[in-house]
Amino acid sequence: MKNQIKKRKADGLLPGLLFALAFVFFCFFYDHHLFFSEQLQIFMLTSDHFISCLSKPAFLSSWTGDFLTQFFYLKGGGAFVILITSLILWLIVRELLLKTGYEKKVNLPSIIPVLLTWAALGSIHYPVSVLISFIMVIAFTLVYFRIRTERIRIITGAILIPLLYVLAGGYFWFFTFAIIVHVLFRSDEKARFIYIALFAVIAIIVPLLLKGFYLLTAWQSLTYLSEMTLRSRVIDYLPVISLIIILLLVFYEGKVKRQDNRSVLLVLILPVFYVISGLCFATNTDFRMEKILRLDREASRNRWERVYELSKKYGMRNRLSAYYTNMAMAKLGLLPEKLMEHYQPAATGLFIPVNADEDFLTITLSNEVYWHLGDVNSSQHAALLGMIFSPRAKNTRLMKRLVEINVVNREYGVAEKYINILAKTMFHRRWAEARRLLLYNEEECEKTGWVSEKRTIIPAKDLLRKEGEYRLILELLIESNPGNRMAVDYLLCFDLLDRNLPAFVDNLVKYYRSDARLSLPQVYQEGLLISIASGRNTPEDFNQYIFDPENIKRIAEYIRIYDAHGGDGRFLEKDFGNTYWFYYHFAVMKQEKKGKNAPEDRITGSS
Amino acid sequence: MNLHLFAILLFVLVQPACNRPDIENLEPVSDCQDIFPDYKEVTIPPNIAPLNFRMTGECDRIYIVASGKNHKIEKGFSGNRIIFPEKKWQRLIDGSKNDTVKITICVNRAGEWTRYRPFSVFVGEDEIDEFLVYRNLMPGFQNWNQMGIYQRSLRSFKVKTVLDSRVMPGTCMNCHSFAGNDPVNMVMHLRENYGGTLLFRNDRLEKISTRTDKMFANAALPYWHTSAKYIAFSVNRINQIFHATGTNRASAVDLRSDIFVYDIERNEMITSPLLSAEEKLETFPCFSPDGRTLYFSSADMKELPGEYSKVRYSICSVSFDENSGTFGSVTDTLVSSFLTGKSYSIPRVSPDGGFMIFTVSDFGSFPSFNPESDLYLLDLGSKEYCSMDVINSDYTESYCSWSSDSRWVAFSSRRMDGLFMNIYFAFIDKNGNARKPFLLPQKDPDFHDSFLFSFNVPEFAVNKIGTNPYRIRRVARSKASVQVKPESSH
Repeated sequence: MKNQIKKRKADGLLPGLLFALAFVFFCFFYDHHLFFSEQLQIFMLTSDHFISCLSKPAFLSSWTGDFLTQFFYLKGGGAFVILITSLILWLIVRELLLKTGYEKKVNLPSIIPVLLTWAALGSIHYPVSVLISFIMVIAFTLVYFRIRTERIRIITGAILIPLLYVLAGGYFWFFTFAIIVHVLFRSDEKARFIYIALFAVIAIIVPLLLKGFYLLTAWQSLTYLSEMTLRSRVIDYLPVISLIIILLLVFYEGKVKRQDNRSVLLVLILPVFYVISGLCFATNTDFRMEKILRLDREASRNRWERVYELSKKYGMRNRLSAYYTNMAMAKLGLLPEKLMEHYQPAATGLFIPVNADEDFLTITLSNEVYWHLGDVNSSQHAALLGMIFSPRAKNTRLMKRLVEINVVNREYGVAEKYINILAKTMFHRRWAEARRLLLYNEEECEKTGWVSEKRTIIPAKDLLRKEGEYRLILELLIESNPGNRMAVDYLLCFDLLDRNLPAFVDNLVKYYRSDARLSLPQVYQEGLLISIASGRNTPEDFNQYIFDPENIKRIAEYIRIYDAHGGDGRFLEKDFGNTYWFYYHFAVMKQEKKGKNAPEDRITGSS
Repeated sequence: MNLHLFAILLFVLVQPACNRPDIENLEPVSDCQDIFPDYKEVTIPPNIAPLNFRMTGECDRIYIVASGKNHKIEKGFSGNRIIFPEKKWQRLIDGSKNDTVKITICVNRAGEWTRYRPFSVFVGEDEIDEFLVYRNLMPGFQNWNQMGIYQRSLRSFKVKTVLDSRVMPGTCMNCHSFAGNDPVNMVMHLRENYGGTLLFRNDRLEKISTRTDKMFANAALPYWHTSAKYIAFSVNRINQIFHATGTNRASAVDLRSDIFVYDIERNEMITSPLLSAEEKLETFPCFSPDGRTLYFSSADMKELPGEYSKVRYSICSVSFDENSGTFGSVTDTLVSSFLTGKSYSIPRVSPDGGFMIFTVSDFGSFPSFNPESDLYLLDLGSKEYCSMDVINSDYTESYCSWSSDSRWVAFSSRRMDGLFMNIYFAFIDKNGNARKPFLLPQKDPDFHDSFLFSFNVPEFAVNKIGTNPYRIRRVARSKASVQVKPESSH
C-alpha cells in the first residue's frame, strides 16, 4: 500500500515539476512575448465582438481565447492563464486516457500533449485560443465515449464533427480521429467501416462547404486554428497528433490484450515524445525576440536608461536591437559619443523601413523613432501600416499611438474613434478615458506635457517626400526646431552610418553651431578627422571645433597601420574596431535573415 | 399551472404598454440634435434599407413613432439604438413615396420621458439601384494587407463578397467597373500576386494582359462604353509621396499617364495623340452616355514629383466614333484649371447625359488624398458648373457614381472623422439640385465605432454580380490570359 502511494507520488511529481517550471518560464523568461501577444488583438465585451468571432471557424475558442489573452496585459497574467488552461488540458487528457482503459502511470503520457502545447505557445502565431480548442475537442470526445448506446453515439459523432469545427476549428480533427479509432477498436458491428467512412466524409466535406462562408482557401479551411495561425505549421498540430498516437496505442493494446506489449510500446514512444517536445520547445521559442520585446517594452515606458543598460547587457547584433539602442542613446544624449561602441547595421539601425517586405513585427515597432523625433506624420504612416499588417488588423498598442498622434495633430475625430474602441476594453479603458479629456480641448492639451512638447517639435511647414527620404525630414525637423537635439544627432549619425562624409560635414557645420569654439562628441570628431585625412577637408575648415589630442594621435596611428598593411582590416580591428574610421573603411552589411534562429548581423572585417 | 401561464401571458402583453410613454401628453422639448448617423431631413429612395440610428447621449429607453402616409411603426428599444424591423420599414417607406416619414423620438432617462420635436425623412419616388459595389481596405498608404470588394444590397443589409484578400492573399484588387451599372459586363484589376485585368462578360470570366508594347504600364481606372464594346482605361505610373505635417497625410502622384481604349471585339488597345501626349498627363476617362464623347482629366506635365503641388487637371473631351473606333482631332476643355487654379478630376456623367459630377481640389488627380476636395456639378447643356454645397463637407469628398436613372449619386467622403472613408448617397433632381446626403445604412448603428476599414470606389449595380471569389481566384491564378494587341489599322 505504502509502495503504491509512493509510486503515485512519484508519478505525479514530474507533471507537478513541469507545471511549476512552465509557470516560471512564462512568467519570468517569456513574459514579453505574452505581453506583446495581448497588443495584437483587442477584446471588447460587446455583442459586436462576439459576432465578429462568428465570421471564422473556431468562434467559441477564439472568443474565449481573446477574453483570456487580455489578461496577458498584467504582469504574470499570461503565465497564470497558461498555467490554468494547461492544467485543465492535462487533467482532461488524463481523464480521457483513464476512460479509454489506460491506468498505468497515466500522468506521464498525459503530460505529453501539454508539453507540446507549451512548445507551440513559444510562437506568437499560436495563441491561447488554440489551447482552448484542444480542451474543447477532448471534452467532447469524453462526452462521446460516455455514450453507451452505439447508435446514439454514432449519431452524436456525426453531429459533433461539424459543430466542433464551428466551435473549435481545425482541432476537430482530433475528435474525428478519436471517434474513428474508437469505432475501429471498440465496435464489433459489421457496419463499423461505414461509420468510419461517414465520419471521414463529414470531416472533409464540412470545412470545404463552409470555406465560402468563412472566405478561406481549401487548405486554410481544413487546417484553420486561429486568425493568428492562417498558415498552420506541423508544430501547431503536434499536441493533437501526439494524443492521437497515444490513443491509437492504447486502443490497439486494449484490443489485442497483450499487457506486455503495452508497456513496451509506451516505454518506447514516451521518451520519443519527450525528446520531440524538448526539440520543439528549443526551436519554437525565440529568446532573441524576447530580448527585443523587452527593450521595446521599456522604451514604451520611456525608461531609456534601462533600455541602454539592457542593450549593453544583451550585446545583440541585429538591427532591431540597434534601433532601440540608438534611440535610447539619443534620448540620453549619448548617441554621438557612443555610436560606434555598439553594433551598427548601417542606417537600418536608425530607421526601420516600412514596406511589405518587412514582417508585421518590425512594422509594428517602426513608428517609435518617428514619434520620438517629432515626425508625427511618418509615425502615423508607420502606425497605420502596422495596423494593416497586424495579423488581425487590430492592435491596441498602435491604436494608442494613433490616438496620441491625432491629438497632437488636432485630428480629434480620428483620435476619438480609437479612444471609443479602447474604452470598451478591460485594461485600456482607463488610458482611453484619460485621453478623452484632451479631445477638442486645446486648453487641456496645452497643459498636458507630452502634447505641448510634441507640438513644438513637429515640422512647422509641409514638405513632400518619398518613402525612405530620412535626410529630408530630419533637416526639416531641425529647421523647424533647431533645439531638437535628437533630430540633429540622428541626421549626423545617419550621414556617418551612410558613409556620406560630404553630407555629414555640411550638416555638422550647418546645424552644430556655437559662438564659442565647440568641443565635439567623439564620433563627430572621428568623422571630421577622416574627412581631413582623406583630403576632402583641411584642418582649417574646422577651426571652430576643438579636437581631443588623443584622437589626433590615434588617427595618425590608424593611418600608419592601414598604409603599412595595405588596408588589411585585421591589423586594425583590435585597437580601432570601435572607431568610426574602421566602420568607414571596413563595414560590410550582411543581409539579415528574418525569423528565429537567424544569425546575428555581422560587420565583416574584409576590405 | 394555467394561472401561471395566464400571469406570464398577461405580463408579456402588458409590459410593452408600461414602457410606452404617454406621447400625446408629452410636450416636445426641443429638436432632436443627437442622432447618429444624421438622417434628419434627408431624402431617401423608396427601396432603401432601414435607417437605423442611435441617440448619441445616454438613455435608458427609447420609444419611437415613425409615421408615413399609410403605415406607422411604433416601437420601444432598451438602450440607445433604434433598429427598425426590415419588413415594416419597407412597408412604411413604400407607402410614403413622394411624401415624408415623420419620426418622433421619446427618450427615457432615469425614469423620465422626454419627447423631441419630430424630424422628417422625405421618401422620393425614384428607386435607387438595387446594389452597391465597393471596396473595403484599411486607411494607410503605399501598402495593403487585407482588402475586399463587396456587393451590398441597398434594400437590405446583405453583403456578398465579390473578392477578398483572404481568398487571394497578397493580391491588391481595385477598380471594379460595370457597363451601364449592369455587372453582366464587369472589369476589375488585380495587382501583385496573380496580377492582371479580369473581364467578365455574359457569364464568361477571363484574364487579360492589357499592356501592349505601346504602353508603359498595365491599364487601370476603367470606364465602359455604353455599347459594352469598349472600355476606356488610363495607364498610369503612380508614386506615393508623403506630407511632413498637417492633415494631408499622403498624395498619389501620377508621374506619367495616358488614355487607351480597349476594343473588346478586336482585342486591341487604341488611342489618339490627344490622349497620350508626352507633355500631358491624361487620366480618369469617362464616356458620355451616347458613347460619342470621351471625357477625361488632363494636366500639363511638370517636374515630378517635386512640382506635384503645381499639377492641375482640367476636364477635357474628345469625340469618339463607336463604329470605326476612332477619335476626333480636337480636344475641348469643359472646365479649365488655367482659369481657376484648381484641379478637376474623376468626371462622371449622369446616364441621362444632363450633368457631370467631378472633384475639385487644389492640385493632383487623386482627390481622396486632398482634404479640401469637393464635388462639383456641371450642367452639360449650359456648360455651367457649381459646387455641390449641400453634399460637400470640410473633409474629402471623392469618388462619385450615378444610379442608372440619374436621380441618385453615391460618393465617398471622410467627413465622419477625417480618416476613414465612408459612402453617402444624395438625391439629385432633374434640375441638378442635390438634397442632403445620408450615410449608407448599417444594421447596427454602432457599426462604425469599431469598423477599421474605409469604403471606397462606390459603384451602383442593377443586378447581382454573377461570379464568386473562388471562380475569380481560379481564373486569376491560371496561366492562361488573353494578351491585348496594340492598335492595328482599322
